Amino acid sequence: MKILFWNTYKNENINGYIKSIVLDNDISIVVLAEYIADINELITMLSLVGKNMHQYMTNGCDRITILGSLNDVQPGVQTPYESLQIINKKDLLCCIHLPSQIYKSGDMARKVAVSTIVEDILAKEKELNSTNTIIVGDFNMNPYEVECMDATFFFGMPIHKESIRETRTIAKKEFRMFYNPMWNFFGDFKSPYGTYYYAGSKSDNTFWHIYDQVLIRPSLRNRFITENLKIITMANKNSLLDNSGHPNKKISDHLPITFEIEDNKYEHKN
Amino acid sequence: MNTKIDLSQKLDFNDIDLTAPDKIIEEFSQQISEQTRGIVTGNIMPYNGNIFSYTKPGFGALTAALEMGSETVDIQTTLGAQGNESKKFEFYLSTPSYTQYKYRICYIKYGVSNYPVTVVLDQSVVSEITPEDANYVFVCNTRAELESLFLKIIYSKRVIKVMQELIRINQVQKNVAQEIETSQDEDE
Repeated sequence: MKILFWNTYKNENINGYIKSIVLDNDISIVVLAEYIADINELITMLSLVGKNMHQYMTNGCDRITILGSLNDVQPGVQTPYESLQIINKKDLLCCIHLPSQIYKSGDMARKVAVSTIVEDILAKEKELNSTNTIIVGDFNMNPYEVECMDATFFFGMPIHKESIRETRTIAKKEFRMFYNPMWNFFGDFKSPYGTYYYAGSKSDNTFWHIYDQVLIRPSLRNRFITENLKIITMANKNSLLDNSGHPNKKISDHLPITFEIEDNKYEHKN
Repeated sequence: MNTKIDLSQKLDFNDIDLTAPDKIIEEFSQQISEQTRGIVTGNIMPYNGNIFSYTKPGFGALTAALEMGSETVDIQTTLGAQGNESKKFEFYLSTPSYTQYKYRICYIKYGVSNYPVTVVLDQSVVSEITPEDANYVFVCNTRAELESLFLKIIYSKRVIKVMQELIRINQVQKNVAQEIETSQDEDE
């Protein structure tokens, strides 16, 4: 199962780029935020090159659009910031687009949204007796920020070895961890340096941000193909970066990410 | 003792409707199901997650949170006067065609005396029903206030849109099923 996530920046002419990324990376599920282009046109474009996809149900979550080639995908909870999908009756794909922190009210709204999402995931995991959970989307925050790191929020650990304990008890309450592989993209040893560039005036601004992320439960790590986690910079024979090396806003202000969860190593936790 | 207290003007002993808020919403839910011919179902179910809400001067219009962070205030403390027990529910729409689907509209929380009831709403609905005040949290002191708020919620463009989409999806599924049935008949 290869998944693409992209915040498409309300670009009506983005379909050609999406098609190119889907084909180049053999994508089976496409998760889009801020998508306003013609989805029927995209489905037709993909079909014409032998990639049959259909739209999944996200009614109630206008911020996310999902399509894919898998058949057994059922909608779960839908809220303005979250679209939960159940794949093959055991795997959870939680697609999110959290409130922006650029706006004044975004910080608290994001805390509210994250808390709700964590509760929804825990409830569904319990119901399905499965911890095969993936969270993907535009988090509008970096992996090191509190709602990503803190045990009371996503609890996204940067090191898998530390996350294999799966839970941590704090003040007699047990919190379940995620593993966040996006930490591996920090620094300037390899480019691109993030998925989003913002030259704001805040004193702690790092300019490059990794707002677009995937988090997985530690039990999925053995199915997660390390080398297939990518920040995409080329599509449709065009660079997605501008002359300054930042995301080209004529295409999108975010760079897409792709990753793979191997299908043939399903290990359901009982 | 010569000094007598007189509470006759201070206490109200008239019977008032203290029907549990979840029962009232359950009635709305049944009406939604009837009015949508069973395609959309309203549900009010106990919720075990944390619901914290808060209003803090100087924090702009944003006033709701789910019990995280040092700046939030546990709504339970404001309900504490009514007793220690509080009940929490979530209200959501579902559709029989997709058994796992749910579109959550709000949470409610109340104490042992049933009122006041706190309603924590989805922001997209809030901005529509009270455009001048983007407050997530509503406090209803009576059944009438709760019913009035829920009517506004159910009539909001946002909720109507979701219901309409679910009806359309149901129609598409019905058409597909009919086409399959027809083609099978023709084959026979």
